[in-house]
Amino acid sequence: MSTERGRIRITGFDADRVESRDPLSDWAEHSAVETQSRWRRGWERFKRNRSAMVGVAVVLVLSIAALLARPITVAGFPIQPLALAPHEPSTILYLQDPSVGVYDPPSLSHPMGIDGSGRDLFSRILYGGRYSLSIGFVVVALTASFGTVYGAVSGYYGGWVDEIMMRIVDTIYAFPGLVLALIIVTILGGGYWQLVLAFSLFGWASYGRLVRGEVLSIKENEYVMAAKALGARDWSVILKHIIPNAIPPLLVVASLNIGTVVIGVAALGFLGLGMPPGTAEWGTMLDATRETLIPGPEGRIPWWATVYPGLAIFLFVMAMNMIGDGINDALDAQATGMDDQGGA
Amino acid sequence: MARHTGRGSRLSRRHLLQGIGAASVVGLAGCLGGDDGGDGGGGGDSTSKLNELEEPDVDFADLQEGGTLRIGTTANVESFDPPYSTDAQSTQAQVLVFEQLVTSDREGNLYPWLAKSYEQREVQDIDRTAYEEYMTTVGTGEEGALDTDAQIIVQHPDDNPAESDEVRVLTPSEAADAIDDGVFGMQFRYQLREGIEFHGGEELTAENVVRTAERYENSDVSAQTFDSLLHARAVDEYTVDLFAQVPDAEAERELPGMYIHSTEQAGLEGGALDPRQGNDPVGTGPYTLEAFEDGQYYEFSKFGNYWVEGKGVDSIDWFDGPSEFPDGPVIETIEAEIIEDDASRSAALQNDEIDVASGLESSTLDEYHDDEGYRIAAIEAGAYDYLQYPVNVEPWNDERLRQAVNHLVPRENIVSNVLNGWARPAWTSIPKLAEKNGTADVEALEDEVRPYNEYDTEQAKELLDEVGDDLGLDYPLEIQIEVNANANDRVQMIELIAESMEQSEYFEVSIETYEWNAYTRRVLNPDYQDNGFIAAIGLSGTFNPESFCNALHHSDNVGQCCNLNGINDSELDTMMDNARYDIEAVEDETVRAERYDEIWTYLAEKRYSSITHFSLTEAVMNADVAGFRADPFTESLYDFALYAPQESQAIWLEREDG
Repeated sequence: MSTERGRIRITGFDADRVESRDPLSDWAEHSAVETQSRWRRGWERFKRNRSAMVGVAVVLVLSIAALLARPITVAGFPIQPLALAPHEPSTILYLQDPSVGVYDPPSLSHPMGIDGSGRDLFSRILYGGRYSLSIGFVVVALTASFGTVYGAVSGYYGGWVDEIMMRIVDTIYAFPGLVLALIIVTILGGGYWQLVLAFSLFGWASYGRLVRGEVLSIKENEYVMAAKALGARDWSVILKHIIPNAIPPLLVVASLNIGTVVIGVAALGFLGLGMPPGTAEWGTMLDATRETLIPGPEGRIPWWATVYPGLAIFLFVMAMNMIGDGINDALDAQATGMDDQGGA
Repeated sequence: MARHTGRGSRLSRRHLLQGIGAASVVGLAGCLGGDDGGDGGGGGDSTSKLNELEEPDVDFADLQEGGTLRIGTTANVESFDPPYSTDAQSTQAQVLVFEQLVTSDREGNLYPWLAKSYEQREVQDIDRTAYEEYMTTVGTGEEGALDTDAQIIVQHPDDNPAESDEVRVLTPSEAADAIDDGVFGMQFRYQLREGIEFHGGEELTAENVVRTAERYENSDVSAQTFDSLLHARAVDEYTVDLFAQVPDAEAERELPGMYIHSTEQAGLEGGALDPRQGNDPVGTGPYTLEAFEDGQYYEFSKFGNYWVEGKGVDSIDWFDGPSEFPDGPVIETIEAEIIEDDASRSAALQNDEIDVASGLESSTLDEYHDDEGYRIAAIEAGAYDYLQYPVNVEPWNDERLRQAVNHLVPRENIVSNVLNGWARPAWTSIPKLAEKNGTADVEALEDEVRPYNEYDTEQAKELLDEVGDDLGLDYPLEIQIEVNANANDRVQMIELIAESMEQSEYFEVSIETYEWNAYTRRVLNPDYQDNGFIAAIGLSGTFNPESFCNALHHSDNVGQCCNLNGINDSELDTMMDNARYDIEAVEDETVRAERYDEIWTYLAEKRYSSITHFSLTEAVMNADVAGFRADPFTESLYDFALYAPQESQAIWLEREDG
């Protein structure tokens, strides 16, 4: 047997020549710049988007106003001592001050007027943000998290798993979301966490479907193949490689969905099904003034009682939509279901 | 809107009220303005808008005949079958067709109507055990249900179906035997007018009354008919006797409270007397049903052979009205459109789609009140709202706690701020209408009871501190108040009371609302009392002062309408029974009134419930409608306005096509 057998010999390669020749490209180690991540690039673009920044400002102002409206105490300890709102949202003013009447128009002491139960509307609008805004964020956080995992599992495994999971989503899609929420609230009764549940229980379906679509295309990418080939477990592939890449369109939908949920909560409130009556939630406040919309002869509509809560809902939802559009532009996220905007 | 357990009579019918204030009300009242002695009916209360209203000055010489009155009603007619419906809106339509042996003015005075005259023939001092020897034994099934199809007229007071396998009962056939032997509580004899015709041409006879009483057996209103009625018996063709079981101070009003049926319709099955079942209602009344579209509208036209027109109103011996007063209602047709939404009904009135509407929101009423193109007719009703405390749950079993909360109920604010003055604060437990039989001295009663009902935070704090020290309570106490949804004014009232309680810093109050049917099921459940909630609801009372204490507090009404929180006070039960069924109270009105005075004082001290205010019954109309005065009862609002010779009341339309 020859001792040469099995050896590979390379001939004709002149290492010196390669090292001494002119570079083929302009790249040089010293000229390298750090790669700009997609997020940083997105943020730069977002900052330049004026309407999006107006949206952010509105949401920030409303949120801070809600936070500072009245002091917050937890277990007896004050953790937020400030009070922007002059009165508690439930305070019926005529009990203390008989000069205050039901549906008094806006004045210096009550800049947004008095509601039908003798309460200061300005205080209620500020405080009401605590319900409307927080429900929006909480619901979207819950539904987006669950929907993402659901969609990722469905898309990644494919086959009959995908088939079953997507048929469940189809079933949920067969019912209008507000009707499902309405049914849940009717069964469970009104209240903050009941509303959260009503909008979360089926609200994840759109995220599930969106993420599944993204996953179907992402999982064909080479880096996913590579991760699999290197022996990564399914969960680690999904969490480390697939979901992060499906996030941009998800963010867009989520930001728009906050508006949708706030509108939905207000709609239930307007139907008298949301929070208990008298709560300073914006939709519930609208409901309380509903009968004034058709006045008697020569009667005047106390516009402040409907306009201000309505304006608060409008401003917030509009702002969220502008933010959503901004994120969409910034991240180049495509096919994100822009028809699903808040208020739709 | 107003639904629930009724009594047989419109004069004594009891309804749970879904709405509040001016909206959907059944009740009774004093009168306002005009010839009412000048106190305006508002009791001199500055908060009530009644003081600002005047009743129309009517000259029947200007009367115009004919025309179509267009009414906007608040709810569908669930049934045209009088003993098989209990809601006010159904009765409102029925009373245009059906009539009773007697009628009443707005102060509760009775007048013979289909009867030419009546008399109380005998009173015997017996109690229900007197029927023992006539009783038969029936078995009891599950949950104490009795194993018989016959109407139970009297159940032996010593037997309890829940604890025993059989109970002794008196049914209609044995009731007849008892009467044969002269065993009965009271006997009233009615002489019918001769020549009264039903719409089908049949002549009214004593047999119709007897058949009608039979049809009330085991009907939806049987429990409240046969708590008093023992038996109806024809004496001759035009004479009929009605017997009461025991001496009963309300018998004169309660016994004849049946809507008299034609022979053919008296044989119909329960609920079948309805156009939806192919049976248009046939009565002796002034109108016949022309058309009915379920949930949409109904239409009545004048009955051509109405007995008052035939005989002339002057043939009624007690009539002392003006000579121009018409013989029967003058409006030719009535079109009633069912418009459930208050705002839509108001819009329909402004758009001239209807002439008259009732049950409008109190804030809207103010606007009509200020407009010259419309007029409001209103009167204090017997309808009231109340809170009932969880008296069987600690610490609410301490009356001082309940008295304290009662001092935190801002009655004046409820009326002036929530109801815009379209009600009257309940300083005592009875409205104007029940004052005649319900108190010996109205002013003395108010002087005595009103201090308990004043809004007084200092007094409340004193009581709360006292009871807190004695029982070692940790304030703030958590308490839930429950109320039906979709009654804006009532919910607002509860918010106000809750806020008032919270401002005292002794309570943390949550409010829970329920849809109407779910709510009534919930609060009428006998187990509700264990929850420890304050329940708020509306109820309509009658001329009978008992309707302002018995339904709320008698132990017989636990699990029924409307002892919601299981009040069981045998002393109070006895006091209430003695004020109605004791022979002394039956024979002497003053004794009865004094007994009720004792009850009101006792209730003020015990404070099981807090009555907040008495509502008004109102109707808003355009300038075409002349002469409209309001009846305290929603169900007879239009019937009374159209034609009521006992108060020389008739309306007509002043318009060119009318």
